[in-house]
Amino acid sequence: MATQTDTRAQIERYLLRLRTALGRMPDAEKAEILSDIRNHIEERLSDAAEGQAGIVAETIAALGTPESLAESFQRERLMARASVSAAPTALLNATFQWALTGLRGFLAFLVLLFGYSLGLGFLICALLKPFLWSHIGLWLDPPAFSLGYISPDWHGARELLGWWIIPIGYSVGPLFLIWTTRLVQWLLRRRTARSLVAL
Amino acid sequence: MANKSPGPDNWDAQLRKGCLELAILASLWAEPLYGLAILRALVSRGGMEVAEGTLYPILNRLRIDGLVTSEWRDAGTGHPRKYYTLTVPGRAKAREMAAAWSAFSAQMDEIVSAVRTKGKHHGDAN
Repeated sequence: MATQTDTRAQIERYLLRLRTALGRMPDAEKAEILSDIRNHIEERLSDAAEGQAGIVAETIAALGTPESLAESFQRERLMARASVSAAPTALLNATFQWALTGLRGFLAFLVLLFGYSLGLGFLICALLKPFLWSHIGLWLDPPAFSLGYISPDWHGARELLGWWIIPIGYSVGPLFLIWTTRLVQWLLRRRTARSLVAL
Repeated sequence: MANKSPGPDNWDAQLRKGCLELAILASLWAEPLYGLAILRALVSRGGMEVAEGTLYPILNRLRIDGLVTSEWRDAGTGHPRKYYTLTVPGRAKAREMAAAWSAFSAQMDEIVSAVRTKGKHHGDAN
């Protein structure tokens, strides 16, 4: 029959593995999760009949392995943070994780990369135009457009905006960054909420 | 053509998973509950069995999203219990999701009524 010490050791081993598997999470949040799980186990144990064989193993098995439980916490947390955060790193991180799980995530990741690249591209062009005026701009080299720096040796492309790239870049660039952020936040919220969409 | 099974078990699991957030928010509608009590409420009110390892990550996300708050209370059981309460945005979200669910289930009822009432498909074997 399992002794009180065995029971404690089993719980502590599970929580230690969970702590390790939670990885790079703020200590306060990690502590909160660990106390939630510890409390849940305690609750199950106090509910069970005195000395009921195998109750700890059964409770732990119902929670899943510490690694899979930690993965669930991380996945849900990442989505929650990203859907309320406008930080590009949080959005990139969340959409990258999403991209690893399927086509929709991959498309969301591409949208994010495209929107941010275009937004930053316009802003950088506006910023550098006064210093590299003959090499920076929006170029047409049929059939392709390109935005940014063009080599002094390249004469095939025609500049489309000239000095207008400065006001346009300063207005269109931030708009692309804001719209992309909002769009990806919305996609992440939709994915997280998944209430009826799972069908 | 291969007769591929639609996999009802997997479909059922997906359906339950999709509705879980609404079910958890709804279970907290009348009163604050702690984790195990939420699991029990889901079983007793709707026969919905939820894996314990699924509940806590979702509760943690709902807390981060500001839809629920949590507080430790001394329950006189020898250990404290963490009670979850719906916030104002949480209530609004629950209402919004419940309305979406009602509309969706009404549509589905209408669609599947043919399956329920018409009996055998003309191609079914006797």
